[in-house]
Amino acid sequence: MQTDQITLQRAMKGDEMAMRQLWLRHSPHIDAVVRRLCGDHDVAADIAQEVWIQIFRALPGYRGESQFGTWAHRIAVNRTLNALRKVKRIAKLETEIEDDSAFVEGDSDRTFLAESIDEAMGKLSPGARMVFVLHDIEGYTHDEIGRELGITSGGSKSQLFKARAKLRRLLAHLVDESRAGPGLSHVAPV
Amino acid sequence: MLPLSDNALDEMVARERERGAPPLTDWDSLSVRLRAEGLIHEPASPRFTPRRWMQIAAGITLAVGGAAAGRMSAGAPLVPSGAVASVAQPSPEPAVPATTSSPTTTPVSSSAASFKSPEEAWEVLNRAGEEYQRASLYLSASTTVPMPENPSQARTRLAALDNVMTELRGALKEAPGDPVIKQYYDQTVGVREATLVQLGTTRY
Repeated sequence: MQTDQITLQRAMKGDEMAMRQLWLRHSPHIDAVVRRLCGDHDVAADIAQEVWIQIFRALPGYRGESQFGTWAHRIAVNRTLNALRKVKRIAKLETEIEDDSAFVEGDSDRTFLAESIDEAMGKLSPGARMVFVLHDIEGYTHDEIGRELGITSGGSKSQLFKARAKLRRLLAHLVDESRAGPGLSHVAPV
Repeated sequence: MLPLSDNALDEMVARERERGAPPLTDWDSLSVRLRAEGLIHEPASPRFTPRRWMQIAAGITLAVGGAAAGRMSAGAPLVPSGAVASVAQPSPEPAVPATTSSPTTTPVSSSAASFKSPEEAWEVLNRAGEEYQRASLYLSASTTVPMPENPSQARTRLAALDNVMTELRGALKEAPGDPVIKQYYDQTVGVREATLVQLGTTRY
């Protein structure tokens, strides 16, 4: 997502209107990654504000080597992981993902697929969810994830494999629904 | 029930990646923190100079002229009927400077002779200018932009706003300190962003 240079330059100088424009343009995606990593709306709301303050603190150092959105995304991920460490929500990442019987498939809203994957991610353990979000959604490598979370690259791969297996089971009913209706075109052939 | 395929999961993930969501933060509380940390710099001079007033007057002229052109192109009378009556019959009372910043409308005398001195006129002009800036700031910060009725109208609006932004950006490069251009640029960006946000959260 392109952010125009004039807005950036003005925001770097502390122009409130320009800063607000940056926030308005990027908060839907920045706040989304915070929420995905946290898995808890209230915790995410607190952390999101800290993330934005950190973004604006760091803004004078932004050199334009990557797109502003990409740069801000990295800050959001780092800040969120740091905040989660402080509240001790990252714990025992190498532990096994809980048994399937703990998950309820029937309570999801079958109308909105996007909402369902969001909900399904919320049913992963914190460690598995973070690995899945960082790798599959944010595009981090296993080495990068290992460094961020303090686990081995192999541990990251293992968590991702288990997370994806869990999600495929949790979301299976959505494909069944899509096969029966016009939503079929949105889903890849199985 | 068979598990979802890897490909189907990848497609869902791709959609999730692109999906925005309503912000978790709100600008009002965020700006308080940013201001407290000194990250937001307040404008240096809140008062208006005669030169600044000429620029603002030009901006108002543009805005009023644009509104009039819009009414004419839509086949509506140039001035609403209620307004015609008040313009046609100037109030005999002298201009009374507003004593509060209340958003209620205050009758404005159309008679230039009602001011007793240039200082009084400047005082009224300064106060009105501050209100004008406040209202502009509010409007550009507002996300309550009327929603386009259909995707075609939305695309037309976005294309028009893009064109306006291109022109204003060019003007801002030539005159970076011009407050009128800056204000119009801010407003246009604000409305464009609000339209994009609305489009992202509305299903036609």
